[in-house]
Amino acid sequence: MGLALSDAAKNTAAYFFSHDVQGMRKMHDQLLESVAIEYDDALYRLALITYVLSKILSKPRYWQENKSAKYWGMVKKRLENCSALAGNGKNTQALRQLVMVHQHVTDAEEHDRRFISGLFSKAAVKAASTFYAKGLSLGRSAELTGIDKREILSYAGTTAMNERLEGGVELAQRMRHLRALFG
Amino acid sequence: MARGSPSIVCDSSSLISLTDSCFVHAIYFLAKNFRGKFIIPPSVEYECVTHPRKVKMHALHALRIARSIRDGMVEVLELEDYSAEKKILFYANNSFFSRGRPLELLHRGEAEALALASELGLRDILIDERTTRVLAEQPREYAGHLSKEFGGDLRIDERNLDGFLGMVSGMRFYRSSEILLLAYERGYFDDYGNMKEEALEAALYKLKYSGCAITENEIGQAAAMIRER
Repeated sequence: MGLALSDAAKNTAAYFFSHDVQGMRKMHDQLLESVAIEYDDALYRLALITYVLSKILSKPRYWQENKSAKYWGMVKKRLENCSALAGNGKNTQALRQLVMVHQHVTDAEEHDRRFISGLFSKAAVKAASTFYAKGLSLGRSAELTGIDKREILSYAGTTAMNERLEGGVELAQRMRHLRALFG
Repeated sequence: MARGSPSIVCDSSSLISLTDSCFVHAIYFLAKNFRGKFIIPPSVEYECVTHPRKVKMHALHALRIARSIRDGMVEVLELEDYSAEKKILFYANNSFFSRGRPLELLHRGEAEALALASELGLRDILIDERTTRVLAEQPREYAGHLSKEFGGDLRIDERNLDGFLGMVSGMRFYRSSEILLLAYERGYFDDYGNMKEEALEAALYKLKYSGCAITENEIGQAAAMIRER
């Protein structure tokens, strides 16, 4: 049984309202795991949102700024709407609420490009790299997220995520076979 | 191309690592005395040349591979029969189940490289992508990893896993790091003089940061190996 969108959106709104960074990060991890097992567009979109919101929450000076406050209010409202709609089986409308959340965060970005710029793209690259680290193939991780393989490889390479899955034939044995192949 | 010739099928991941770290000429260097060919399926050409050539940030890397194809260093070959690719995908993507759902692990691109090798009777694959490689080489370790990552309720469909392992049986996998090591052994770094060991180690780290799944421990092993030779 996968993660239900209504519960996930409700919890996300609650974590955002209570400024619970840890809870938001845990939500993000649960969403990614669920999407890795069975892809769902709304859950994937919510996973990206939870990553961005956790970053926003971890910088109090950002969400405490008055000029952004109205956007954060709208974010919370949309998440609650999403939860209610998904609970009633209205998944298309629920997804639309998440699209609006994305929009509100982007609108807030116009007031502070310095911090939020590119957070959604970063969230997608991190999601793709997490799928790869969990054990999905590079191609599958790229397919699920729309992220170029180069970006996934580069992120996984620099963060040592690759090393979560060790194993395979010994280097010396590979070299013996390769020398034989090339004569 | 003769069946069983000493050629090597390349996945996009290795070509990406080699071009992103500016070592694509290691292929030229090794190809000089290689009786076989570096072969890629059309999906790899699309991922490494056709598509990135249109993206300004990646165009130069794409052109490096396009040039190696033009120069005959890398050959593009199409599958004649796609049934092997479909079987590989089916077996791999229905071997492991979490929460009652099959884990869709491999993508068409990876399956196509394996199927092309199988169709051509080749057993050597150049692939930096780690999932396909570990799944084929050490499926039990791979299952342990999945179990850790997906919370322990992993179920294995042994029949499908055996089906996949049967399709890749006898295949041997290499990474761009081994290609560079071999090139080193054959003189590719000689112009560095007494700095060549240091240059190789730096080059292996560059490959690692470009996504080649080589560990620090293995880089240490590589350094020890070249000192012993």
